[in-house]
Amino acid sequence: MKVNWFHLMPYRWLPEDFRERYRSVWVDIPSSLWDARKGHYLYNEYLDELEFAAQMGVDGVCVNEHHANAYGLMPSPNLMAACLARRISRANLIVLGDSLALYNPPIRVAEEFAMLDCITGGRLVAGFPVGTSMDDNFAYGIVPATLRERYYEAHDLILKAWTTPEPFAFNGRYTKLRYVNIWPRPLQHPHPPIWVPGGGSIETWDWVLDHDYAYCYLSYFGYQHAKRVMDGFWEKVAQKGAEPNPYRAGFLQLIAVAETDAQAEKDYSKHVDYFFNRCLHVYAGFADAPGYRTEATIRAGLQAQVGEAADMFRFGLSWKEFVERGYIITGSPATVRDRLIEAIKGLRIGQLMVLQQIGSMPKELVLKNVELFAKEVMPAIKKLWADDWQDRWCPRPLAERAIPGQAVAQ
Amino acid sequence: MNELHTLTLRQGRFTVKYYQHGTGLPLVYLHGAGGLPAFTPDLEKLAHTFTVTAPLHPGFGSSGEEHFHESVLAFTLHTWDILDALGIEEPILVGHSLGGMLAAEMAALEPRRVKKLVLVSPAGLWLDDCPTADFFAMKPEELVGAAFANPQSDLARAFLTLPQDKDAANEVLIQRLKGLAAASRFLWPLPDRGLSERLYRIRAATLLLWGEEDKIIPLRYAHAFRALLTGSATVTLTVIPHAGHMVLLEQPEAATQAIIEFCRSHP
Repeated sequence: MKVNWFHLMPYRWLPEDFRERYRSVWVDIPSSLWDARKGHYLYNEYLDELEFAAQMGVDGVCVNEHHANAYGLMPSPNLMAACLARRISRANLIVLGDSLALYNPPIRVAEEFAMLDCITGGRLVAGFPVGTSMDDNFAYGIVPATLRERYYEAHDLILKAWTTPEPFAFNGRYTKLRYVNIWPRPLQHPHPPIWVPGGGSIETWDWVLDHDYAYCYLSYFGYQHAKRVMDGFWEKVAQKGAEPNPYRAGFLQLIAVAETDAQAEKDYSKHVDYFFNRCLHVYAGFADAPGYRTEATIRAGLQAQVGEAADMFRFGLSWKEFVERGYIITGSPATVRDRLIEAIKGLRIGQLMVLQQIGSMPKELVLKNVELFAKEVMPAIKKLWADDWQDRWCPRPLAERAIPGQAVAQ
Repeated sequence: MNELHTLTLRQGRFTVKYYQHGTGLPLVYLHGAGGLPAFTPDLEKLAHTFTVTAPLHPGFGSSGEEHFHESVLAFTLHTWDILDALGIEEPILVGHSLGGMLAAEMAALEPRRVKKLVLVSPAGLWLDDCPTADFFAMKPEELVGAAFANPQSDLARAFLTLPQDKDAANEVLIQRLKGLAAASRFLWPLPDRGLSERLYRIRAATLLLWGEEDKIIPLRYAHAFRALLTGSATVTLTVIPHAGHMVLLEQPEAATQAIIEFCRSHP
């Protein structure tokens, strides 16, 4: 079992009456709400948290990409990854990832990932999300109907750029280049492992399995809600006769550990409420541009994660309901351990992404949450799957790597 | 009246559904991003004077939209291909909203083939100080509020009424989404695809027909079109009161009368 530590980097100071005064946390939230002085400390605080998690022994740290979003302050995940690359010496760097259709030309992704892979000595996971409708269509203006076509074309270009040692021409519909010739090429051969984060689009599964990539279901609604989606994924794995290896599947879970169940509620309740009721307050009109989801996915009845349908899942819920519905796994170490093992086995996932900075949670609570989790929960779950399956989707770093401050190239 | 005919183009890449009714000179009606689920009363009125042909755009009941990618030229040529297949040589082109943008593109591409051009609240231009509404981001209630002068009318409310049967209701919603998705190829994130640089090529006498209370494409755009239609034989602006963006549905009598009068007075 691999445990990867995920950060969203939310702005922690949205006003009390945010829901009433603004229609959306994403796309058209005024940037006058941003206080840059606070932001200076906030970025450094969040990077400290990621570094602390790495010191506590997680397998990897995860950054991700959002635009015009007050709960995701990483328009450039590669910048965050670069900040971490020389500060984290052992854990993997999982960029989940670069939304391929937003990079022009998309070889920018091939180049920057190759740089990160070289700097970290081969510890990079290359995440290739399609990206959300809010990010891609509304904030970055990509035509919804052609988003996936652009994504697939960008993917083909990046893969070819990584694996072709000579310059070549690329005549795509959306990208035309006379000379594709990336310097540097990645350290991992033929390229870093590719993980595809998704929100439950069924055609993505076919594609991911055909390419033998890992699939990560990034949901904020916990393992009970995810069961239906992941069952669908494993059904597709069986249909295609692919190996039912748990390491090919990842899942994001909100986790908050305290000394006791009661203490957990006391510590975390208001921050979890901030997350669900302020951070996820997204205007329904932005949730799902026409054409963003394919007809097949709509017909399969898979719902968008934000917007009106998703509002029904969270608005006005109490701590007790967040816990009972499994949106958050929380409580004493023993409680968290039991529920997490049940979730991991139920979803059959080998790549757990844990979200432990939730909503407005301040640093001292995050560090406590991480420490209790790492010391008292992680050892038990790390044993899962390890004897029976091989993780074919993890990075393959150099055994001996440069030490920052003492590097000598040979 | 609601019977749909079928033709295929380019070895089956495109299957085109179209309505065809009436007698008289050929008039081709090009619908907007809301689609054309029926041969509506405004078209019935026009069919008393003209042979009305109304093709459904790919994604709106016809198929093949994926072959357009994001190319307005492909969409424009495809629509000329339909008219070629039907033997319609010199049509009166009437287009609403997205269809108005398409009609203008067609007339700019083949200026000598268009007998008359009627642009009803056409898309295709962008004014920084007067943005068109982002109807893609509207919830159904908001969309009806923006599209109709009177959102409380039975006509407007009918857009919010779905079939009782859940599957039938879902099907209606899916078809609407498919249509909007197809429209996004030409209108997203805003509808300027360079038409302003091509309008000068249009030669046909042109009628700009607008609902006075259009909140999707405000009346200001009529003046912008007029200023750019420098090659048109004549340009007439007719503004219909008590009508919004859905002017043909809201005021079918006045709107179709304006079209018929215009065609008569510019033979």
